[in-house]
Amino acid sequence: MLKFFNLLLILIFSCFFISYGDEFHYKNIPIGGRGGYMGGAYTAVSDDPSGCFYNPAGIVYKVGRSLSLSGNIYTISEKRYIGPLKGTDGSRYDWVLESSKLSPSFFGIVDEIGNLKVCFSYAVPDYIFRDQHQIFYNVRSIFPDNPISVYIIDIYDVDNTYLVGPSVAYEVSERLSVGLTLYLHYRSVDILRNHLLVFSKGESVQANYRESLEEYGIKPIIGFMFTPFEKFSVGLKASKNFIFYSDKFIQGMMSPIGLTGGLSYSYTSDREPRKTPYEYTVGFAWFPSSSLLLSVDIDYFPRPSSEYIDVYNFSAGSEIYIRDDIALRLGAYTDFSNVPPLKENQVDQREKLDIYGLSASISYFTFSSEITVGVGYQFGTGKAQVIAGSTEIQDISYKNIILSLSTVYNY
Amino acid sequence: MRFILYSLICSFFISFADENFRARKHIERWYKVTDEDIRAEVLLGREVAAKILGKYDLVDDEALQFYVNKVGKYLALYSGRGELDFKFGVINSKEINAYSTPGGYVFVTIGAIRKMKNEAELAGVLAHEIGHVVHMHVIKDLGFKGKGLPSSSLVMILSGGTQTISVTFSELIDKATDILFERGFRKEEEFEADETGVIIMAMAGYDPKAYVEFLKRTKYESVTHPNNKERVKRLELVINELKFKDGKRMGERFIKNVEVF
Repeated sequence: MLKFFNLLLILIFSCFFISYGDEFHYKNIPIGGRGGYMGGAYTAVSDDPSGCFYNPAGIVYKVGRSLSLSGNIYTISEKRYIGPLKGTDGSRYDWVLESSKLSPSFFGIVDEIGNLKVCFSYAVPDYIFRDQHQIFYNVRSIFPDNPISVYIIDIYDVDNTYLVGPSVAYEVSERLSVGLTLYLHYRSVDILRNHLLVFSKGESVQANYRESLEEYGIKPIIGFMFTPFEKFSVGLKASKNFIFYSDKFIQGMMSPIGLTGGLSYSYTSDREPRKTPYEYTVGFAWFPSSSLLLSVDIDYFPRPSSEYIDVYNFSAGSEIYIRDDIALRLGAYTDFSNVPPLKENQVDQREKLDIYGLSASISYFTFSSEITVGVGYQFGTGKAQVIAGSTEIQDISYKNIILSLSTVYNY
Repeated sequence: MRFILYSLICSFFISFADENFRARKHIERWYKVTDEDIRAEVLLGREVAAKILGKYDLVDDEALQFYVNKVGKYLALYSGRGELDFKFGVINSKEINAYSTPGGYVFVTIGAIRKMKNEAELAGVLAHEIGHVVHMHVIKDLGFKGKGLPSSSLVMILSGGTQTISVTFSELIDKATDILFERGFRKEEEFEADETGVIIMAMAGYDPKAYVEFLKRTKYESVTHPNNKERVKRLELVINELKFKDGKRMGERFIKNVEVF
């Protein structure tokens, strides 16, 4: 019976490996109404307040003063783990994580002080909110004669990352500019899970889990913008998140009713800051006319430790004016996982999900303002091990739709 | 390899033909001068000109005013701002100075005219002031920054029509007057007006060196026109680089027209 509880604990707590925030990707939420919908291929453009995030050197090309606000009107995502649970009739049940939220993603203001362009911005590069429950009926247990008749999982996850801070940029010459952003990083995580298992013979097990994390860090971003040829620019960016404070607390409790064994619980705390990678981006932009802009970015994230792998991401974007006052923006990008591929016959491996994104928006310009409505679609597939201690590997499918609204006011 | 490196370094100091290629279509609209833009600029300029004339009387000499206007309007043909109806006047001040307001109102002091030796020198001073108008320095210094047409922002203020907007407009006039009489233009703006001025002079057939000589002789310095030596140095460089053909100075005609003084 003791073995049963160990397995059950693992089954229940294993969920935490897979449902956590999104540390496994580096490009989670599109930032800014322009850059975000050009697929994030904005390092060689960056000439609006969101440039403080993409490449602060670009804000020297912002004409006049500007204030920008963008928010995701609605985001809805679904991550589906294919068939980790087996039904008593032999069928398999998918485990689905859903997230929907309203969230601000960027605010920035650009002004001039002497020969310098200065900016203050606030960005939310990662935001996860889940409030859901899922019920499974007639799930096989380790007892062939006593399956789980009802299994309820309640989930409440909040995982937010915020960046806030100033930027400064200087035009060294007509062809070269340099910029620096100094973001304060703050991350707050709260994971709550309640599991209720009712066995067919009337016994039950209730398990609760909570994990919280607070994290502070400094994220400097240094950027350069070269213009080697007319109508062509090259952007370079380097950054890293230096986390100087981290406080993680995990507690779990399980109370069986009608089964042998009593209340069991565990708790741990961890103050070791997680390792983050250096981030390098090179971008190219071509401005063939005032109606057309094409850009590409290549991001490189070297592994921060041996648990991770190097990641390259690619993005491409375009901006097309269909009228003097209406522009369309299109983008495509990758958001690859920093986790190595899962191996056969191993246990407790972290999920690997490679994501691809498409984005499109339409902007309307008045003399001093711009309003943009955009839609993004992310999709991907991958592998995971939902059940800890098991060598079984599940497929994952992922999709995410983002609707957003952003405004820019020039004054 | 060294040649490539050298070429690359040198290329960083060569200007682009279209330095504003980053401007997108919606910004480009700002560059189109509309009738509204011109009206706004002229309206502001006229009010500021009234302030100037509130401080200084026009010299009561029709012939002189006619002559200065004739020279000024001729220069204005080469200003590239044919949409403006430039007006010139001689004001009664012993100072050696000149002023211009948005919309093309240009004033030169009688003190400055008395120090001039020929028409080319007068043309130099007037062309310098036309340069300020061409580059919209007053409007830019009022805070309508950016590479777009600044007077378009002015249109927004003028077309507001509310009481608050009216207060803002009267504040703008005060600020513009302050720029002309107290603060002066920024050093770079003076250089820009100088350079534009000598180009206009040369295109009109005057000798740009005459303007430099006037600056040297009169030490044309005041609160609003500082850095005389630096200006002369930069002007000489420009004149040498652009290799202007020798123009005319028109000494006799000038003396004939201003001899009453």
